[in-house]
Amino acid sequence: MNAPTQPSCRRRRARCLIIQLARLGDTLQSLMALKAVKQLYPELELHMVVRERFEAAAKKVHWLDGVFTLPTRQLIGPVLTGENTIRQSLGDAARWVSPLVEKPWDFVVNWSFSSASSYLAGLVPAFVKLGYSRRTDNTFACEDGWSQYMQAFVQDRVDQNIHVTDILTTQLLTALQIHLGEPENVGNNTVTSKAFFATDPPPREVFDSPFTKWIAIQLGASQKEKTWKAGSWARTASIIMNNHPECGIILLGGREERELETAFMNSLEADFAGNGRVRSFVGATDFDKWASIIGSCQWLFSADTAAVHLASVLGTRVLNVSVGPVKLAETGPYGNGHYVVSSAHEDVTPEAVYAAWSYGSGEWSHNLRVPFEKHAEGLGIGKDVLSNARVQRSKIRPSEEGGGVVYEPMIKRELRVGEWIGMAMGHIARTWYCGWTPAVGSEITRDLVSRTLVQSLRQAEKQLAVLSRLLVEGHLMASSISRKSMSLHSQKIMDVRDRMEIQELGAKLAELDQHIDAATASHVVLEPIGKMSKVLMHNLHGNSLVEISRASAAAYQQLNHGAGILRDWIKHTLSLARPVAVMDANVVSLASRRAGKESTT
Amino acid sequence: MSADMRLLQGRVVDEPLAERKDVEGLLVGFISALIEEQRLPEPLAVETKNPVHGEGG
Repeated sequence: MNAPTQPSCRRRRARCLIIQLARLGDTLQSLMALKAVKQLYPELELHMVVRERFEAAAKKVHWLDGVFTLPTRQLIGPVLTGENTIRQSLGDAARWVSPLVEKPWDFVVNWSFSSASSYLAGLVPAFVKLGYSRRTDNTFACEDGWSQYMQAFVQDRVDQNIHVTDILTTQLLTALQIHLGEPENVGNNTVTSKAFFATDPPPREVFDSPFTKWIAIQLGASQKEKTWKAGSWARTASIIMNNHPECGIILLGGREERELETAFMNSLEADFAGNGRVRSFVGATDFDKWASIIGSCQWLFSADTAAVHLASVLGTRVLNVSVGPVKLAETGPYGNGHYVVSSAHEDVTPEAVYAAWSYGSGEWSHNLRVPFEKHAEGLGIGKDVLSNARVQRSKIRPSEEGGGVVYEPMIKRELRVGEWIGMAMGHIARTWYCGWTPAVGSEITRDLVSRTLVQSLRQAEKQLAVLSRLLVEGHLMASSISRKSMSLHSQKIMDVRDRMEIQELGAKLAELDQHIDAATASHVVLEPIGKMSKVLMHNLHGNSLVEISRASAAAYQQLNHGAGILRDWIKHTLSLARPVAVMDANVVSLASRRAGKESTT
Repeated sequence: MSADMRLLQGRVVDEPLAERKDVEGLLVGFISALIEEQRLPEPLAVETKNPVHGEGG
């Protein structure tokens, strides 16, 4: 690694404030990242700011040193009703902020990635800031690499395959390593554990039979389009209960999901309604009871909800039915042995979900040696039922292979262009921010490369050559401005000719940026480079022309480095698709074949 | 290839309490952005971008 700037706080007992003003799922993912950090830096003091609605989760975490609750309603309610103007509400806001700004924090880490949180991060004094913040002139600042990645890729919906929990963990751990030194060696302990929260004991009225294996089904999802039909959940539950008399179902959901509960009950096979094997707690659980039930079940079945993350931290296995606009690689269940079922075109079928659960439940016997499709066939579920299904299993990758959670396909399918981009972008990020470079395309095999992908990559290859030339030119031009401004006696008072020369170079650079925009917009594979370019250029920071032009040159260099990795990925993938010569030993010539036939007749 | 530490260390401030700040402007920005988020169906991310990951809860 390059030499760091002056470290600000070289002491183990540092104070760290995490700002998480997003929703419960985000809060849980942040907590999961913090648990990993706490394991490696046990003396680090961790405090967290969360919204009032989601404070229950943070307050259950015994290893957090403090939780600050943002009373959103109290602060903005009077403004929304017209009772107060924004200026009149500033007093309340200042009083709420005051304990946060009393003395400087060693680290302020803003994991909300939102506009409001950037102002709060700007207000709080700290030696080191990570995530969105504000500069002294109140302009938006996103200055560390992983936050720029979040802004350019994750928030702008670029395909990338690094889980958000892994991004947050790596971002904070790397900064701690730079400023506090190497962490304690705790081996390869897993972060997920039942001791994550101080949870209540399992409710007796729910778990009254020691012989029943309970599966919790979280009805509903954060958005309507991410919700799996209640009738499909009911059909899945019926199949399981018909085939597994030891299993029972617990329904979970908020008060607003009572309609789904009714639809579920109406679709359930009549034999199971009211026989005690299906128990509903929809609209009847607070956070503690919800966590306690999920933590005591063998499995949680859920679409894209915060329950997936809760089960992940509690060590309950998850079967995630992924429907709608979900980016599984970023926000899927975290840990080993969770299953995700999605569909390429049509709706996910209950039979595919049952097959995935049955396969996952039986891992102890088949140890993943039986192919998934063969297992499904044994259940009477044919290939036609699974033709559009995608079934993936989560796995924590060993650190020597890059670490983090990955989702391995249980049914081999050809790679979609988006999935390919996700792999390449993940590789670029690891190279940029971890200094870790795996072999290019090691995750791709020949049978995954489709004709559509090859056609798309061939087009991208041509455009990428143009883009690379533009990025090299940008680097050279920004370096010229830097050299020119260094030769000046003053940054403010200069010769007219010097000023004109610098202005001319600046105008050329602006024109070049437009060409870069056009080149990246010309192909979906290059779009991520364009998005990162915008974020990097927006975040250029410096007190003089020399500093800004140097930062600009470094940004072009970083982008060109990324483009180079992308080029290697394209070359590697296209080389896999090329026809391969058959080995001599396997070749049977027509003449010898004819001769063989003649001799047998 | 090794990572560039300047990209990873975060924004480093030598004397955070001495850092010049427009506190009132930051508070106004904070409250205004909270209101904006409240009016939108999902929390607002910076500069018209989508929310990071909007799981419900």
